[in-house]
Amino acid sequence: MQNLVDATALTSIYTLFALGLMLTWSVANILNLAHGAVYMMGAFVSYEIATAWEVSLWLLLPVAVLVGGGIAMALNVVAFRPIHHRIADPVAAERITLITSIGAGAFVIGVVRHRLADEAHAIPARVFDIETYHPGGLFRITNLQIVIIVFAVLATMAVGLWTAKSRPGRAVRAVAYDPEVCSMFGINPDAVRSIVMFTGGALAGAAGLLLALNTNSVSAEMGQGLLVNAFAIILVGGMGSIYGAALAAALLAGAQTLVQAYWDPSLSQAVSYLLIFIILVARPQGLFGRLTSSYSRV
Amino acid sequence: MEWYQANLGLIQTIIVTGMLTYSIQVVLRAGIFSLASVGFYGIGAYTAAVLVGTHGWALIPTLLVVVVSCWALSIALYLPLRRISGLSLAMATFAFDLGIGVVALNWDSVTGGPLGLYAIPVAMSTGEALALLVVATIILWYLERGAIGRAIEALRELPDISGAMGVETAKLRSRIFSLSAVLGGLSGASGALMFNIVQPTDFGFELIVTGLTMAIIGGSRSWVGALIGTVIFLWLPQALVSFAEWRDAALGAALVIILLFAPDGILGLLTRLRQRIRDRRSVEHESTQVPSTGGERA
Repeated sequence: MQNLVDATALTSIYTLFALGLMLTWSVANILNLAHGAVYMMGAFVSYEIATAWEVSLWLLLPVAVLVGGGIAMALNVVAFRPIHHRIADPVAAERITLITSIGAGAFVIGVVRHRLADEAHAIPARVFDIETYHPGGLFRITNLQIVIIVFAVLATMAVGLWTAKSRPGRAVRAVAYDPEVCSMFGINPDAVRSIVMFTGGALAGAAGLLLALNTNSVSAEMGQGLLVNAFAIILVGGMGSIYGAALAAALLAGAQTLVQAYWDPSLSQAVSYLLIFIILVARPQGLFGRLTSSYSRV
Repeated sequence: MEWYQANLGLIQTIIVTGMLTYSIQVVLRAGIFSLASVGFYGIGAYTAAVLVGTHGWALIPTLLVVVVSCWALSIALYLPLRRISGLSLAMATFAFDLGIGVVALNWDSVTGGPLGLYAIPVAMSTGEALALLVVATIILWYLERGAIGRAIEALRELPDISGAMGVETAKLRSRIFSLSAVLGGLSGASGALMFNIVQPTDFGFELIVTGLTMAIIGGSRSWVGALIGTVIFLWLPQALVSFAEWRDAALGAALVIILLFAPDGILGLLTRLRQRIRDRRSVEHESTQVPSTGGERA
């Protein structure tokens, strides 16, 4: 039962992180490996602000959202967009973008690592009063975990509804399908890509802050481990499917929690590696894969 | 002579790392976006360490085992991966690399767990490692000329059509993948036998980034680029000692800048320069100029 709670909280973080990565991949054909760095920056900037001033979580959350989104969008404008415009061949552009994102991520992490100087850091506890509840004596849940879960659910639903019903959301889906035709219909694919990157980064930034609070630690590499997990989730859920990503996140988080509890904790990461291989062999398009850009090959 | 002694460590590192960069470059040139080299580096390193360190094998039989085992493993690995390309292949091989890391970390009885294997007797001299590198260079040089050279370029540029034009795409792709694996394994083995210690942390995300950086910065078109990248990457930091703590950040930034302005790497820049000089000379001699196909691709 406790495992269910832990798994749900983990699912929430995974969903927030993977959603952003999946959106940029399916819409802009960018596999942004700097996503981990964006996630980390949400936590890092919050840490800096929280140690300098007396602030509460409710102020930090919007900040993390803006920071994450802003950095992701800056990355797009400075690096991904110029590459996209300069390299004609989409396959080569894909590859160059991936490696560029690795470089950008390494840069951001390097700068932060210099600032954090390899010591243990954590966001000051005064930001949020963590209380633990024991409903019915069955399990243990903190109010922070409740916040995480609720935030993830709301954010996922918001993104899902936005892409399905609203005009900009439909523009996003259109660009995922065929950017060139979109430009003929008055949709600016570059602007849409920037919006998508902002959204993805915003979700990741918030997730970073929340997890940093939950685990009581902030480190430069905190996002890196999530990248492979996010990839597994995107593959299992399928490209372009938001609720698929959430479901896949639940699957992975559940599997990892069980492995951690009943088998060997150090093998929990290996679950995602295994999952990646299995899904690539058995069903490369994922469980709910649809809406992919015309150039992606999965 | 003194210079040689003083820089022996650096020279050995360049040789070992150069082999790894070859491994990465050879697949990139063929348009196979595989990052598996690093995983095979680990496999080669541990195989050599166990055979020589724990069982006292001699050099040549050990290297033979490394070659054969990496070749065999690569064929097994390629089986589920043969239909995948681009970003998905990159991430799948990335997961493979991390998976090998997990095995190395947990298979205590063989790999020594987190501490790794140390005090491995020096079974390989610098000269022998250099000889290995030269052999690898000859192989790569051979693959860049003549019909086979063009076939591999076709594999990269026109993956869909080249099969129809008589290039045995499937076989070629598989063989190059296996070659890359063997080179990676030999690189790891050389490292283990010259540096006497193997740890799971030697080959993880960082090595993947490092390897990619060297291959791309130098130029992924040719083994010459791989060497250029390796030497620059390993030599320059020596010259900029004070940069030490900013190394990762500087590296990441360098990667982004190079990819934005010179996606073909330094070799690409040099090639273009040479072409421009040739064009100018041919204009001076008033011979007919052959128009070049525009658009640089990586």
